[in-house]
Amino acid sequence: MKHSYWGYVGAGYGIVFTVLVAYTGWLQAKLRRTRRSARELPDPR
Amino acid sequence: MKKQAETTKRRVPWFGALVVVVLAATALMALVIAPPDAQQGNAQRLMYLHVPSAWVAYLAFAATAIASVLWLVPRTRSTSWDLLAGASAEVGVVFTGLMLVVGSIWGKPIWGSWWEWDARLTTTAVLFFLYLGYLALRRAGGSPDQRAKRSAIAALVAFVDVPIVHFSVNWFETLHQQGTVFNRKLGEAEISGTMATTLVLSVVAFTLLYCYLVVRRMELLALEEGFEERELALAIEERLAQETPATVASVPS
Repeated sequence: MKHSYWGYVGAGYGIVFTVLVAYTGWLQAKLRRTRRSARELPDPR
Repeated sequence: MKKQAETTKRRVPWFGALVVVVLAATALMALVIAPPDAQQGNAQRLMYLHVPSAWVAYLAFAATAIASVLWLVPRTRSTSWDLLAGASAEVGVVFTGLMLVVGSIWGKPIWGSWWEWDARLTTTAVLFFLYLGYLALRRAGGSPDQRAKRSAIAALVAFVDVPIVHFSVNWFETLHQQGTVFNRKLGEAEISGTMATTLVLSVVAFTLLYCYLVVRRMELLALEEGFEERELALAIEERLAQETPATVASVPS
């Protein structure tokens, strides 16, 4: 076989890893922020 | 109900840790243990990302469609179905995008092209944009009920494209290969051994990740909805408090 194609494999796995880590991180951070804001807001009842 | 929410809150981090372990095992299997393909070489390792991403996209959009139907039926209507539909669609869009990108990276060395206007690729791109539109529609104004109703109808319309994407490789014989594992025409499965185990593991890992992300996204959507309601209630209370002295003053003694 002429090519090893590891470059394409690295690019594919790298992009998937980056996107999933970024999305999960964004979700966790927004969840923490919203929980904090919800606690700080007085309950109208 | 509160007790159940507390239990879920405690279990989610453990579930997240399990997902990370299963994903790490999948990466090890896919990149180190599974052998390279006889014809495609190492490029075939992209299958362990591409196929599970496609599976999760189908699963996510099916969950969105089912939750939308359950919201539309008056007897089963609940805010949770609307939240599940929204959360699942968003995760589905992420995985559809990944499926398209990884497929394109896989296509370059094997087909010699990043993109072809093949039936499977085109219908998948349409699917991606349909659900992006669905997510945009969810952000449009209106009461929670109005939003849930129009989103549920849009989800059912968008879901029509899912079987078209799936069967496009049978209906139009173009560049993208037909199904392999469950293809009866092939007789015995063409994939076996470590490759099959790795593929199954990757599907399991991505499904677990989907479940984790949907639970988290639903939690966030529920918090945001409750937060908005409380902000509105506080604003009304503040406005009423401002208006009361003026009303009292205008009453003749």
